[in-house]
Amino acid sequence: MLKCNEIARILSSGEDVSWMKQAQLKMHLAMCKHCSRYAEQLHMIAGSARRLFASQSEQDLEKLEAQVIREHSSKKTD
Amino acid sequence: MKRLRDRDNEAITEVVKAYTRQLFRAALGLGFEAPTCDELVQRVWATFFDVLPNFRGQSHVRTFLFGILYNKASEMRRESTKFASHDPIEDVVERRFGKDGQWKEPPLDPEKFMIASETIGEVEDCLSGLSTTQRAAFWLREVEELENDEICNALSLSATNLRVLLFRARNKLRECLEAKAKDKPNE
Repeated sequence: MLKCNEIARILSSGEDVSWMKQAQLKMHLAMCKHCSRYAEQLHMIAGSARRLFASQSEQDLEKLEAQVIREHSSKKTD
Repeated sequence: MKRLRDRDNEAITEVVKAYTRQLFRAALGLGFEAPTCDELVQRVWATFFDVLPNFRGQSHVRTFLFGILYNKASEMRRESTKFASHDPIEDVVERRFGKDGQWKEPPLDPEKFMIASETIGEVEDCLSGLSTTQRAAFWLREVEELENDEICNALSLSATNLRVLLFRARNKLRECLEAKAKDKPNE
């Protein structure tokens, strides 16, 4: 059977595991409060990172895009 | 690709519009201030158009761009992109388990943990404790949701090294946020 420290390693490294181990992992998470807390926390961390920069100003980004386009397209044809 | 190499203006506009936002967001994710991100993104595009004639299109344009961004970011920070064989977080994680592999110091209750993980300032602060490589791996995986293969290509990493980096990044963030949550009084 998988132990808690192995579960934590698999969850945080995103290791590819066989279907057998996958089943064991699910079973372990269903029974072990600590490991399921750990899994939930990792999930929360990913969610926070996604929300972190969602609020970047559209206007500034458009300005940056326009600048890049200007710089690199003017070089050619003319 | 051909149109890009021929410097077709329409193709240039298309590719710049398709990836500038993602690049900017990734630069923020790597921990740069907005004005620096602007500069960084411009440098990425400059390099992209410079080396375009030699680009054979073996990899996705996006992978290629993220790779350039990552190299520029490491350059700017003067950080080595060499894979470190050891990171102190590995010992920290190990100490949380007993010899039998069971939790000795179990994770904090998620409801308490949330106090820190939902606070933008705390998350940013904890992210700053990661190396550029760790941040890049974490960011591309969790926010840009790239497949492992693509991340390995962009960052020139082996699959094993990527797993180690993600392990370090996620555990560092978890430990850091947990410590912050514990410090906060319950309101």
